[in-house]
Amino acid sequence: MADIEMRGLEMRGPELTGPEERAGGLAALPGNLMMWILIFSELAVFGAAFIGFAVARVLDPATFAAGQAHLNGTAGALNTMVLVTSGYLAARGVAAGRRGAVAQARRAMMMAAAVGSVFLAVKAMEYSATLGAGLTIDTDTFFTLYFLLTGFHALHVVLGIVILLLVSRSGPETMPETLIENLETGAAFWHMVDLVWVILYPLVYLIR
Amino acid sequence: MTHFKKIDRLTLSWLVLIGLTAVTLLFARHGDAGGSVGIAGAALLLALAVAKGREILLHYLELDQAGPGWRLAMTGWLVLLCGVILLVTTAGALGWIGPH
Repeated sequence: MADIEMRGLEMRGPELTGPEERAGGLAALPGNLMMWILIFSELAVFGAAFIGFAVARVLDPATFAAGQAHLNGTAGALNTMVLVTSGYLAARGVAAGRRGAVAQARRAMMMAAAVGSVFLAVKAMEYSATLGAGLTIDTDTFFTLYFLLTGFHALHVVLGIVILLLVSRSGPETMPETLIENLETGAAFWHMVDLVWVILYPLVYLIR
Repeated sequence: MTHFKKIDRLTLSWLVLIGLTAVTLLFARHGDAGGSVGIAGAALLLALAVAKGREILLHYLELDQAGPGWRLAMTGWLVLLCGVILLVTTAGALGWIGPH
């Protein structure tokens, strides 16, 4: 048994530095437990809202199809690529922090935040096109739900960028364990924002 | 093959996520042209969402390191949510529930 574990560890290259061995239960999750409690509640809320959106569409398919025809699905796909790339950079930042490469970890987190801000720029262009066409949150059920869901998600993107910038400021005076926990906690929130978007995008933009 | 081994699991996940998103881009173009995706299209799109969500959960959020309980709970949430969305969408498309 010990032999197998040893070999398992040896197979990891330096690039694959994994998380420290974690205990079971809640301690098995990366980062601060409070962040995970927030993540669980966010996933529950978004999940309920997504099911609500699907039900509302079935009850009024014509209004939803007409509304969806105004959305830019290509911009949504672009934004998916932006978010998963930003999430990748944040995950690399965590790995760098675990290796003790603090400067690299901070850089990765700042880059993740910078790429994340591209999402907001694309979203702003989409909103201005929609609002410019005279379609607002009051137009119909579809646009009410569209602006509520994407707006609520975009607020999480803003908060995620702030959190990434905060954890990237963990200085050299920070204890290594604290630095790693900060990086993991910030990245965990950011990955949740990513996860919510990969469901929101096909649900709101593509399925019709 | 030797080139492939140089790619670590995280980078592979990123490539998978970009690749799966590229597939949805085909739907986006179809949708921008005003077409309906149908039940099969909705099923494929939600399967793609599950595949993307799974990469994020297991490799970005590192649930592959967190034990089978967490993996099951979180991927279970993902599959259940997308399953319910598909069920509701299918019921609407078949006219089981709807405006009339």
